[in-house]
Amino acid sequence: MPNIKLQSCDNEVFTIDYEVAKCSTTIKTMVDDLGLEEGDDEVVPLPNVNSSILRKVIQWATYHKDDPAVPEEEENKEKRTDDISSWDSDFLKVDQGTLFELILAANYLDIKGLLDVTCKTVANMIKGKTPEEIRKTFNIKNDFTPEEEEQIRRENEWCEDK
Amino acid sequence: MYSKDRKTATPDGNASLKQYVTDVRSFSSQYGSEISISYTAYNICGKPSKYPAYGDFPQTFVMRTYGKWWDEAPSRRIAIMPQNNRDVKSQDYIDISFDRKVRPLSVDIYETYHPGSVVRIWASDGFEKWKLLWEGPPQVRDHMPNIFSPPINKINFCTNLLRLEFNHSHLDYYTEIDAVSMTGTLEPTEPVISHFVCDASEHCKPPECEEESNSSEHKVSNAQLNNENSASSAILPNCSKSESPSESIDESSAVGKNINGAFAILPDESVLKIFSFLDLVSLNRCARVNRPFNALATDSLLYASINLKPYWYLISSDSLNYLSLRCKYLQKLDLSWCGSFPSDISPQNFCKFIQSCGKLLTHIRLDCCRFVCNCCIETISRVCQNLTELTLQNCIELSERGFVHLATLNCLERLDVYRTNIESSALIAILKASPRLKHINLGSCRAISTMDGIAEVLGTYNKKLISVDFWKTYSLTPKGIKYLSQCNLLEEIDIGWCLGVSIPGDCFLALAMGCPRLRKLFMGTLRGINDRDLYPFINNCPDLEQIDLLGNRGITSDVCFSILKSCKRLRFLDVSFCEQVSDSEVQEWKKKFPHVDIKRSFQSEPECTCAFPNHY
Amino acid sequence: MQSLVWTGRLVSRVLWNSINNFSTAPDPVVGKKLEPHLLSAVSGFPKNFTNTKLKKGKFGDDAWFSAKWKTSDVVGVADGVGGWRDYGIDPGEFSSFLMKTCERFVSCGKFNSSDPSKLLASSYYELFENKQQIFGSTTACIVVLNRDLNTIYTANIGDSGFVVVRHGKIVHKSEEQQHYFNTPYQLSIPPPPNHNNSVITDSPESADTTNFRVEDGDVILLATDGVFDNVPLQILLNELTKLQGERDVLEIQKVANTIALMARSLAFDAKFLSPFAKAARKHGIGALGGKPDDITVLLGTVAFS
Repeated sequence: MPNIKLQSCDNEVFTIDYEVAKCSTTIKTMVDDLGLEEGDDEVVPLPNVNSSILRKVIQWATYHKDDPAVPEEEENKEKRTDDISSWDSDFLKVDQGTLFELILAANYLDIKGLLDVTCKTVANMIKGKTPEEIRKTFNIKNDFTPEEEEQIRRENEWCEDK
Repeated sequence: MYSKDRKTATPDGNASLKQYVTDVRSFSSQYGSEISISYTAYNICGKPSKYPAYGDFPQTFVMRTYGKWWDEAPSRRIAIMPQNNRDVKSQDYIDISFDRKVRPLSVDIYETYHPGSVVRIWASDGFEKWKLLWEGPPQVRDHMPNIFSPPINKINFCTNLLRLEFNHSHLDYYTEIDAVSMTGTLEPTEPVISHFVCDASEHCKPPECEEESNSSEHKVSNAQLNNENSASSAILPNCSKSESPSESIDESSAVGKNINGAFAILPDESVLKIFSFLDLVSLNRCARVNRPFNALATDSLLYASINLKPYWYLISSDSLNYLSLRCKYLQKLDLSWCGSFPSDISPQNFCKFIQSCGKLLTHIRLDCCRFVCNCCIETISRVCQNLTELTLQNCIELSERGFVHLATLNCLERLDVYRTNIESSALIAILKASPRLKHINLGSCRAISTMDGIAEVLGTYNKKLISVDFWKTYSLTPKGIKYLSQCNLLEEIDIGWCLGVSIPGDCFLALAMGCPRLRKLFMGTLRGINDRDLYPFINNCPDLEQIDLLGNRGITSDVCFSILKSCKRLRFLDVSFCEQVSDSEVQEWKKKFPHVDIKRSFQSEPECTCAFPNHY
Repeated sequence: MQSLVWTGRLVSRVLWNSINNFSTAPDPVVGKKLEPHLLSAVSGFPKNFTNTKLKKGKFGDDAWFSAKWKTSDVVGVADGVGGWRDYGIDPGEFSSFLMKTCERFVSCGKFNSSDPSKLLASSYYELFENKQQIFGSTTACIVVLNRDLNTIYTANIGDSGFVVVRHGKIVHKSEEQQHYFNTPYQLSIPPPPNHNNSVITDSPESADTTNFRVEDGDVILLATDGVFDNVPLQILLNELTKLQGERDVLEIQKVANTIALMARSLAFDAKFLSPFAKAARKHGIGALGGKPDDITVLLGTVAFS
């Protein structure tokens, strides 16, 4: 079964190598459950992913299709955020909206490698910023009352350099 | 004192004073043994004794490790919450004190062997605070004596206590520090200028903390906080989940999901995933962004593994109090180096934290924690029934009465009591109760009267043992080695400087036969061993990767060549001070076996430098 | 004779030593109690002058140190046993390491100021802690002036020694420790078995220890057997008596130089009935002349201030 058809929520159909598609545990499970076989013209619907994001996902998966499987709980390597490959980091030079949609898609499609690298990218955007800078970067609103804010500040500044 | 202190005048007219170290307050490791001064931390005291000589001298301060070898050994530890580590990790430290308090102008570090490992210099007021004088990446330097004098930050207090932190992972061999001098100006007679003025000259302070430099004010606010603590934290983490005060419900529903900006589209699990890559500082800042962020950034799922070691200079009882609210699922805790002053963390604070958060703990690291006393061990033993790893390096307050509690644990897989006062009877009880034990470090434990007795218990009760470290324990004899050979899974053994094994008899034959999985074999300065003692390892232990033979005069180049030729996995071989091995042979081997890092250290006296230095 | 030529050269070297080695004046006294201080100077010669490099703290196979810590002034000498040269071992390395280690222990305060034998023992065991094993053996004598107690504590192993002179009389003197004639007690670390079969090894615990009160003006000579074997005690006494109450370190240095030079010239005087020759005769060995040897003189006076 060399190829498989994926349909985005905006009804665009992508025909791709199954070897590429199965890096998504979600697709792999669906294919297994549907019992698709070679020659079937079945289309796998992906109602949570739009075509532009799906195109990016496929681009990522195609590049990474030969990656060795990541061992399960390799806690330490996973926690590093400075190990993003240059290809990935170029790949993720996208607007914030796309980046977050990629996270959403990677989460839905259950693509561990993509989820890791996108989450790390966002984590790197947070690191080293003050709360106000974080708000600005991601357009987040502060809903604390001044009293709460003062209280929370005290609770959370114990590991700040003084 | 004597000519040690040299007063000169600085350009602005203040007297400046150059002082050498008078005492060592604390340190994380040393090459030398507890009953000796050679290669020990105390050698950093006083004027340089070796500089400008360059070589491997016993008169200097040497730490236990260098390079990457220890991270590749079977006994390596797995990092906890590694995202907290700085770009440059500190691996060792030493706290040194001087006679008189000064405002430091410069710090000179005399490096007499493999310079370049200093990565941070801190100054302390001696009571509660540490300020960074300098930090930078480890340096790659020529093999030459060096005085390292980095430009240092100005601080607004006088100090006579410095901490040096080291990273030696890039070094070819042990770094050796001969002496440290600090030059500074004496306390002005006028009262210290207002702290606001001083703040302006500081480098490392985030702008939002300015008001905090008044320490008395800080204390008050902490006290207030403790009172309000329980009430507020009960409400706040939940507020995004609708149970919050009426006013804020209106606000959040009015603005809708957009309050979270780009994060609005993500489910909580994805946000948690992102947060899981954050260090503690970033997490705490996220908690200050808004209510939904606060709820997620304080979620207990993110606090299952906590590493506070990189923040050692900031951690206080308050930190533990705040953390305990988030640590419902705490499994791994690294508090090493924390609590450098008694006022930082009290044993009671620690016990309280363990009682409220310790039930699920499997890993606890408390290396160099000076607050750790017997009652802490008692609490850990009682609360943390699932404990598999406990490291207590340099916890010198602990005595037999504390250690004995550990015998109530029975899941222990790693116990590290390097440089503690553990004694035989407690240790034997612990070992007998820990059938799963895999790693034990007893290096420099001088209170153990009979290491053979310990080895006998290990060989009988701890058959799963993978690594054992007996570094510089003098009561181990060939009898003990024979007992150890019953631990058939053993992959690593360090019996360096166990002078009691100097005349080994046939114990190494037994060890090599019994432990075919050996990968790391450290047997420096057993003095009396010869080629015959090493051939069994070549024949029986095909996995050998690291071998240390330093200071063994009886060993010839024949056996070394055999090792290089036969041990296909060998990566490391130290033949320093093996006098029957010539330098030219080593050079030849280095060419012939490029995949093996062959070490060859040296001591060489400089030709008499014409002056007889002044004695007093 | 060569002596004239020699002397010129020797004196210049001795003076050069003296300029660099004497103690400074005592620290200003803060309290009211008068404390004794040791004002000392060192002098000496290696046996083989021409081919020996000058090194700090060494005269040939002899070694010495002088150090202080808080309320203790400590001096010591050690005489490396020359026989090891036949085994390719530099005898001076052993004695020199021992003395340097004593100095380190004192300078960092890690010693008991009323137990010099412990200091000797610690330093001896430190030889085992060196990555590069040093073999050999040595005699040693250590003198500690404990200023708090106005007392001198000594430890002596072998035939180096000390003499204390007060108002023209010898009031204290070390005893020679010998197994048999010309074979003193010694601290040793022999190389692995194949080399030795009859190495004498005395434990540092077998050191003779004494202690006695000191008085202002006391003169203390600490020296290796190169001095005692060649300079008759009466002559030493005459020299030392000159220094009674002396507080000028340069004067002390002059006498130290004189004693060293005297020992040196007597050692090479083949017709002189030296103390060594006398002792040999007592043991039935017909001998005459001095005993060429390394010479180390550490000379000091006790000054209360």
